Amino acid sequence: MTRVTRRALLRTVNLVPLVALGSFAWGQGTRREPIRIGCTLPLTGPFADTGVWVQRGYEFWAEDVNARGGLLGRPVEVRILDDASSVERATSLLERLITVDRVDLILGGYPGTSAAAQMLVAERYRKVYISMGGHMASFSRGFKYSFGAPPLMGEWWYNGVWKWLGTIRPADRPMRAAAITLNNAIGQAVRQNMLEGLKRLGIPLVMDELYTLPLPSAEPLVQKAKATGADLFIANGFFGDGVQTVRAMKALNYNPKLFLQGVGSLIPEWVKELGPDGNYVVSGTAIHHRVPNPGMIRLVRAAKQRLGFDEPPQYFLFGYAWAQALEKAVEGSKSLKDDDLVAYLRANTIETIAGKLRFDERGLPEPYEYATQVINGKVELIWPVSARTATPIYPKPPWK
Amino acid sequence: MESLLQAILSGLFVGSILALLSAGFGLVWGATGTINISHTAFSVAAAYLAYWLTSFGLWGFFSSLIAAPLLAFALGVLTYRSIVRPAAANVGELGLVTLVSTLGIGVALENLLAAIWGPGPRVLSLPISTEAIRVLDVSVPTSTLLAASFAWLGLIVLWFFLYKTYTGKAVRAVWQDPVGAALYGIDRDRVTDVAFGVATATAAVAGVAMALIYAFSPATYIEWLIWAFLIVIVGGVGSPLGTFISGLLVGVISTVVGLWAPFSWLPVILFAFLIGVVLWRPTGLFRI
Amino acid sequence: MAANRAVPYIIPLLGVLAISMPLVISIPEYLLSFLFWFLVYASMATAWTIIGGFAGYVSFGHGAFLAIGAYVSGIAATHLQRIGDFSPTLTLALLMILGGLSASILAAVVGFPFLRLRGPYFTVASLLLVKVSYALVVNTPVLGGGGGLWLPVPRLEISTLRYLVYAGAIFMTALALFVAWKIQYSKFGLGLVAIRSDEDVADGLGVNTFHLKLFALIISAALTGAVGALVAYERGNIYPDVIFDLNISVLTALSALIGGSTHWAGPFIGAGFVRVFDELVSTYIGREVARILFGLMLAITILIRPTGLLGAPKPARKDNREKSSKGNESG
Repeated sequence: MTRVTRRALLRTVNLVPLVALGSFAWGQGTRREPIRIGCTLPLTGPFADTGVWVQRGYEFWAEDVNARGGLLGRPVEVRILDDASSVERATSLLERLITVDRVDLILGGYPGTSAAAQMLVAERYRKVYISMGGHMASFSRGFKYSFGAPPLMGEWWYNGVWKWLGTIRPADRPMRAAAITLNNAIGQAVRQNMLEGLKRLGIPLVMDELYTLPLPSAEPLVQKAKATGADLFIANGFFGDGVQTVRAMKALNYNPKLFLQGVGSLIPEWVKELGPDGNYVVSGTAIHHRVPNPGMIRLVRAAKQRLGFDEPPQYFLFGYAWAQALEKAVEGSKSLKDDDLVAYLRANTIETIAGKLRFDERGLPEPYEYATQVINGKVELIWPVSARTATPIYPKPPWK
Repeated sequence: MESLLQAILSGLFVGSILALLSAGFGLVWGATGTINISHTAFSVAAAYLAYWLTSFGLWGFFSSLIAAPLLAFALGVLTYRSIVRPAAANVGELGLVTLVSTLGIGVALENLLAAIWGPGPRVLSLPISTEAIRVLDVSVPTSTLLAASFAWLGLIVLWFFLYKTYTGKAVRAVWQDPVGAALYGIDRDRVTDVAFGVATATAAVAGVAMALIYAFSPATYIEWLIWAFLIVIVGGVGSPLGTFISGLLVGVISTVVGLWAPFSWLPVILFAFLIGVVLWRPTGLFRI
Repeated sequence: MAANRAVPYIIPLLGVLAISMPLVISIPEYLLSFLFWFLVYASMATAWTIIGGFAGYVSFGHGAFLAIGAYVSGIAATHLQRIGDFSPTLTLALLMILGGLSASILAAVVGFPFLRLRGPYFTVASLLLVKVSYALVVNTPVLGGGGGLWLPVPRLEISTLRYLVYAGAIFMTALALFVAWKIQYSKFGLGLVAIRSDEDVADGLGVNTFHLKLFALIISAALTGAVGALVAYERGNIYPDVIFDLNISVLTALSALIGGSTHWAGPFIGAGFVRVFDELVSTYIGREVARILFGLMLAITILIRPTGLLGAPKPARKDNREKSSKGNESG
């Protein structure tokens, strides 16, 4: 099959027939029943831009696994249903996958609101659910079957940034901080992390504003921040409002020493749409393609070869990582029974492209500590030092 | 004080764009009784067209400013002929029927855009987008200035059409007094054709303007529609002046409130204010 | 008319049947789940039509009633758990009553100013209600703010929970249908029809339009609020972005309009039609094409049957509605 045809097929068809065909074509020729893995993702609707990347991650993983002989010697089949960005569909479709299609295993959904709702469903049906989670609140419910591998934890978001700031001489650090936060689950979670970090570093927070979407104009917020003289500006928001914020900063000539942005700077569009203005933004992340975790280098190379991109986007990596965690649990416990998988994950450390993960009773691994900075249009890793891909640029150069 | 001036200025700029976005929506509503939910879907479509053409170069951007309104005009007339006119012929509750049917069109258009360009967010960036103009202590991002000028252009053209051309005056006549207009020999159908086309064309220009400032994706049209809806009602359905003032008002309030109140209260204040206006003047601020 | 007299017996009977059936024969759990959401929308649409269809006051703000029912019951659930262990059925029933009550209070409060508005102005006010409520809720930490509110996890087996909420949904749907039917064929209903046809004339004839409208809004809200409590209980959490989503309010109104908003069973049919179409198209065609077809279906259906599937085939001429009908002199 040519690469183009394969890509077209992958995009328009549920993986069911394809993977089966694929495993035959690659000469594995297992005559065993395929392992059916089900999940829902937003393939249409407002969250589809990211949902599609998770889908690609899952599908890539499935191809990979089948190329290596499958899981427990059997080919895997990933069935991804479109929940159209609706929480309600996400839960009912997942129930359908579990009770009607009777899939062997399930995978995590997107975004956090859907994942949190699905965590509940998975718990009720006693199926292992590996996902991004819905921030700390969702992991504090006493769920036994949910694991974040890795979770998208707003409450851990800037951990790497605070560590990095800690290595800068106190005299050079920012003197005061101004923050604007998108008032929803993610924004609030990230804000929590910000408050703790600032407190630990002893940086006073002189402005702490919340906003909701749609944001008619970011200028009043930026103006206020500038007026406080804050040299650390933190915008805990998404892409659209992030773009407005950056532009407002430039227009009002606001030059903080350091600019932190929530989750907007991580998606490929940030760099694509903002161009050079998107540079020097610092953020956190849960996973990065340059972190030398087991299998990452191989994955990046294979992704480049088969899918053509140099920098695998975050959510592609997430999808692959979650699926890989499931794979490790299955291979490790040599079982498809969810209770066995849960027991295995609780008792063992697994190695995936997200690192060495050891889960606690909440289903969470150690908090991650990464910091990123957009430099020359690329999302570079600036913390931890051992995994650094570029030297951080601090203070932020003023607007031209 | 400069911060107040700065805020008012930004508010006026943003407000004029919102005003253009809403003007066509109100025009169609007043003149034909149609609540055109797909109005802003055309705006988003125009934004995508501009985005796509701009990727070929700056000349692409300017050509989209011509192509988008023209295409929108044609599509507007098409929509009117295929969706609204048949409904008007046999229905009493025109408003509701057109609401549902145009909602269907909106959903279809949204997903068509998603099928072509994907659901991801885009921003329309021009080389000058990243600059700002600074006069005294007040600065305006060039993108905002550019967007606002397109909006003004659109508004002026619309005003000219409605008040200085025969067809435009006919539209207003039909608006105010359909029977009387018919008595004067005004062909209501042709006039409404044109009204629809013009309205959709302004939606297209407004869409391009919005795209210069805000990130957009296929699903954004609903957000923009809500703004248009609110602005038109507050200004008075059928009053171009009312829509204009209302748009400016909404723009200014959103920027100025932040100076005195915690920003998180902006929606509460803005929407409570709008509720207040609607209750005080149930038919809107202006009648004509 | 004979059929109508049987209705007050048929609805409850079917309801009881529907509730007891899963106990007798084994129903796939997914079906219960699918039915649950269908019934939620069906009951919401039916409740909506009492004010939106019968009285003609199109509201896009019923999401606010849903949300207040959800939030109030959510907070109550947390407190109840601290007091003691109650039977799940009792808890749910209590929560639903609280939800309905809080929504009716909200309706009474906003009804006074809002019901003075006509047509699209009322619609806009209802839209603003949702937006203001959302803004208020995200700024209120005790309600969970932007981050959302989590309800205590009911200590139930999944199958019991699934069945309980399903029964709750059947109950709400039957209740809503019954109430709608009763209203449609009562003097109250006639009053609402008069309001819908020509409010000024009705006023002139001595109909107490304001009281009727208010009453209709309160009933509509109460039913919706109870459903809100049910939804919150089933979901286990409330995210403001999700519960205040305009799509819910719009879909509710849409289902009623498509099915026939002037008939007590119209919204039920409409909700079913929309749901089945959506399900089929999404499963077999999928993705954007499905949504495009869905949009086109909406447009075509309403054009073919402007008063909805169960509406009167020949719609009455609308008179004197402000700017909503461009006089069809010829037809």
